[in-house]
Amino acid sequence: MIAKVEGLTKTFGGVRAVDGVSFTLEDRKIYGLLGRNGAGKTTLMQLMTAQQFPTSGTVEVFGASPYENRRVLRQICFVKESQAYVRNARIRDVLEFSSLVFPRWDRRYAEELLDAFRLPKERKMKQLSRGMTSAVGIVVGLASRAPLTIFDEPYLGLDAASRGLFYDLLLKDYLEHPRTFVLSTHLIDEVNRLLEHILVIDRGRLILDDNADSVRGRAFSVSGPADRVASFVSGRTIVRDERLGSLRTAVIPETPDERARTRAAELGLELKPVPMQELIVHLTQPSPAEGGKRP
Amino acid sequence: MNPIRAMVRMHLIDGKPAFVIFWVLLMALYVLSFFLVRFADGSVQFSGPPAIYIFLLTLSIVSVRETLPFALGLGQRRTDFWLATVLYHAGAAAASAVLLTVLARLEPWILERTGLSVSFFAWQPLGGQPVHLEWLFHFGTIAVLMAGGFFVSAVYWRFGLYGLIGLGAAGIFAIVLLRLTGSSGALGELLNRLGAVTGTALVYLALLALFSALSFLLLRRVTVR
Repeated sequence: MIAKVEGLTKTFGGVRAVDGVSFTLEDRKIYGLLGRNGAGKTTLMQLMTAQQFPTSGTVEVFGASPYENRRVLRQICFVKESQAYVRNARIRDVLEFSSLVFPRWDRRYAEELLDAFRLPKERKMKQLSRGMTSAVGIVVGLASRAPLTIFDEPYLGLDAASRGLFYDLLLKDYLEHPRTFVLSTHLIDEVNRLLEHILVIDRGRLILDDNADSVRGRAFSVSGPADRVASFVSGRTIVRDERLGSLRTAVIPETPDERARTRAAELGLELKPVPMQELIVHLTQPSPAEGGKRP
Repeated sequence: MNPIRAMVRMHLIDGKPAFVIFWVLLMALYVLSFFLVRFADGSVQFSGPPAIYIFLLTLSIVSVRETLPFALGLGQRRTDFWLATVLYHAGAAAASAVLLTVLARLEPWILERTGLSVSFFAWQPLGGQPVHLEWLFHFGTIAVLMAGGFFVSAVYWRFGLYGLIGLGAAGIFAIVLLRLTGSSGALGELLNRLGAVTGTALVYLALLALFSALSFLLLRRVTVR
């Protein structure tokens, strides 16, 4: 275990941005911290890196509080979407800075990443596009080789090709240099294949903390003739319901057991796993009492 | 020491353009004054040192604006950032004081050869002081101003705009209190008795210690926005 969060709460005014969150992070795993905008993901990561102070609860990373702890902080690289840079600094200055503060910095790998993202080393940060600035953050995060590397929506402004490149590079580097990554994102389906463990946060609360494979099997879709689907879903919770002519597809938030499979086969219906994004959307949907449309 | 070195370097990169622009403008003004003196009544007086003081005070206030969120965002300790900033300010104060002292000493030599009367860097209140005292005075003044600027910045980062308003109100209250109680006169008398050099040194040291301690304490609780 490399990090332990217990009963963590952060209040801004009367708003509970993080509300009694507890979880642990294991070594050498890729975590997905998922949730809607404003769910409390960034605040949670800022608390874990001592950029914010908790209202209550504790954070331990590498066995100690990260606050003013050089031993702990030098093992964490937190790259957030809104990371501020010194505008007059060139890309090479940012890399030079990183090489001095991250003890495992890989200079050669950083150069390779610059080439991969086509970043001009001599250009000033203030002259970079949004996508290029994000790419600099990605270079810093990957080349830091920090034992705990946290990316908070690091792809802002990056096109689909560059995002794909980032995911490929992350996976390759993770396999060659295993360490712990936390990816905070709302592009869930894009990162789905990378994730080994899922943390879902909604309105400040941790609502899911589970192995990614287990989460992937938590919902399924059933499709076929509408009347047969109606018979199959009777008495079950439906997350999404679509009709096209006489055909119907329903999404059911449960793991299909043997009985369900047999019944579907009898009715000539097709069962399929549901994309993770859809499941997370369902989990973070407001309840009917809150004005949501939960079926 | 690597993180501190990295942050001092970032301060230098951040401040370099402003530093270069300021000195280019100041030196251009200096050269221009040699032409202007022909149209004036035969002499030009300009207070170079206060202009440099004000520039460095401003630099110290804005030097934190970009470097602090950058450094803290990339996981640096607040203590290390404070140390790096103090080192940067001390270096800037020392280098500026050297420049000021050298230019002030060169000025009479230039005037002697041109036959013009331009008082730009040689500051009358410091006339006749030994070179080390002149440097020390500039260094002390700039260091105190930069420490004050850093303190103002730290108040802003810790408490936002309301913090600055509160600081302004506290400053006005302190001045009024000193006036009403007559403490300012007593303080002036005490400094007179100590002598110009000792009195100034004591005031500077006290202000440096106060501003540095306060900015350190404020920075310890700063969060990244």
